[in-house]
Amino acid sequence: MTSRLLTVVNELGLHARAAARFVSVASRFRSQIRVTRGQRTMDGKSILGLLLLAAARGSALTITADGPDEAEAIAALGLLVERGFEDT
Amino acid sequence: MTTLIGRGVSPGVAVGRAVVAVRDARQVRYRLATSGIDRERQRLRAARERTRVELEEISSRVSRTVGPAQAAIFAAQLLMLDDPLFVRRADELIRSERINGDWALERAIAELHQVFAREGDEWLRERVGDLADVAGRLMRNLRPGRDPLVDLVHELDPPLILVADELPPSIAAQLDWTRVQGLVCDIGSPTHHTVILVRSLAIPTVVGLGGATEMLGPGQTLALDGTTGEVVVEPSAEALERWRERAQVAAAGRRGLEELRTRPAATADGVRIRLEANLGMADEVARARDAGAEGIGLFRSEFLIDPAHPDAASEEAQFETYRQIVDAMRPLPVTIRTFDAGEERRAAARPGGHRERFGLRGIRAALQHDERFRGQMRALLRAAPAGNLRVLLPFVTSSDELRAARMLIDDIRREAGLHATVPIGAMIEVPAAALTVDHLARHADFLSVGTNDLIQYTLAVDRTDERLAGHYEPAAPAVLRLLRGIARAGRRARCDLSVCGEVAADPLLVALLVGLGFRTFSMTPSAIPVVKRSLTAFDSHQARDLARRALSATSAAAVHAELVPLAEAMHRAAIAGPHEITGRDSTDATLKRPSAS
Repeated sequence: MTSRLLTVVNELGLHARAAARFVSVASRFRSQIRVTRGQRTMDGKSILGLLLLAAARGSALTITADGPDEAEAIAALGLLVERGFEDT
Repeated sequence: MTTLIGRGVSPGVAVGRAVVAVRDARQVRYRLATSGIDRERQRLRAARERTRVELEEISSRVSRTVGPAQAAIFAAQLLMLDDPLFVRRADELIRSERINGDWALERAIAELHQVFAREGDEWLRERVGDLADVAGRLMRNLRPGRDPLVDLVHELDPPLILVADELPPSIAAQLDWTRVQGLVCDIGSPTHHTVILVRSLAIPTVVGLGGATEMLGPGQTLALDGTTGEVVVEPSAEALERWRERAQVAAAGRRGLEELRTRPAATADGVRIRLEANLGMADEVARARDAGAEGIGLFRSEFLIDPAHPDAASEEAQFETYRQIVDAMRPLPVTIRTFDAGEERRAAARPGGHRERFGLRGIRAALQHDERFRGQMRALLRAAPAGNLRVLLPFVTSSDELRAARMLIDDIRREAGLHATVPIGAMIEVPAAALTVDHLARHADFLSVGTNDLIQYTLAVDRTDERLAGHYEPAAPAVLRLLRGIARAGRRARCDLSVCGEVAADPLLVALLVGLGFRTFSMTPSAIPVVKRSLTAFDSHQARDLARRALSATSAAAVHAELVPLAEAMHRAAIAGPHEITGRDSTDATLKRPSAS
């Protein structure tokens, strides 16, 4: 199991398009992906779950991956969040 | 055991298992038998894939025409289809709770709503709209192109009691009332058309319970008395026994339907009426024959089109289907309507809905470039020798179109080296056609009135718009005048004329149409025995009087009031024994009055 703590940097936060990107990337990996904000943990392959985290700019997220490709998954998803979901 | 008291509006006693329908019967809830679980999960998977195709199509269109940023919303919707909290949760509910797909989706959404509402974030609440949008699409795709309740009733074991918040007459007329033996409805006054209709069918009915769809659970055993307004939920074993005995007495009239099957349809004074069946799927042919249909009045061929590949309808597959239907019905006529893009897309894509409705559809598409129409015509002409096949062209608005289509069909025949000729007919479903029946009759071998669209176009009412639910009204004065005009012009031109819309399944409206001069009706197969029985409750003079009064009425409500005495007569015919119904020999009487109208 690998995890990483990240901060949401883009202006709109983890909104619909950002969550869609996250799920698309997460779904490429076989590992189970979990995203935690505060007390709440959601399936990283569930767009509705991610939306429910309501992570605005500045929110802290912990991404956890568990499975054969967990290291790659964390690297790819970490990069996505750091780059603000490639949002402008 | 609980007893609820509502208002009895149609007398009689019924016992059965509850099926619940909400939102104008657009959404149904029922419990699955263990054996039905796999099929329901399969149905949900198929709906998901259809929805995926639709959303991908819309997304790429929006991306092209508006911009990729706007298309992103559909990317999010697509991801919802695979979301563990939504469709996968619904799949889980089907298994664990043994509930149907619509209901499972409804429950999954309710769960999400709870969490979303707790969040209180406005931005988040807006996402609920996306979710509702996807859910609506999924539900439509569970039974594509069909009325869910009508379809469902055929799958469940009778006897059933239908529990609805409101039951629109157009749906009520399509239901198989030999399976649904009682009705419990929140809304419904004695003058509501659905109430008049169920009285004419002798279906015990209780209305005005307020919240019946919430109080009564799908799958519960219900017993009801349409005189006292009692509805008993899960009666005790002894009580159930007593209710069943009373229900059997009440159902005596229904057994007469079976005896009517082989009798020709006719009014009480022996005016012969021809009853044919509408068909959506090829596998319904047996049902049509069993119901005593005298032909297939309308086969909606667009059901053969795979929505994933709308342009690639295989000619061979079509030929096989057409040949089988025509052969199964031989020597009775089978009328196949050529593809109507408007119909086929109705369930799909909201954006551009108007373009589909008023756009390049039916005969218009056929005349412009349509390779698909050529393939279909070849399949039809090849299948024609198997029996009595007729081709019906949809969405005709002028005789020029019809003439051009005939030339095109001749062309296709020559090109393919085929020799079969088939009668070519025109749908009368837009006011332009209704007002020029005399012209159309010169170029058509037969005419078929599609009342569903004719009513929509005449009254400017889109039936898919829930806000307009009460505006769709077959008995509106404007509609009746158009129908009278069609009947007159058809008779003068001596053109074979039939009515194939939903109104043909409504015994009261059929009486009105007989009075206007129509003699051939095509309806959902299960309605045939019921309509046949109701015809024995009036004679052609009464029908003409009724039509005259209806034509001078200034509102649909006034027309419904005129129908009440007729509903009582039909009710008496329904509860009478079969001998009384068939007391007169209608075949002889037909000879005496060959073309009374």
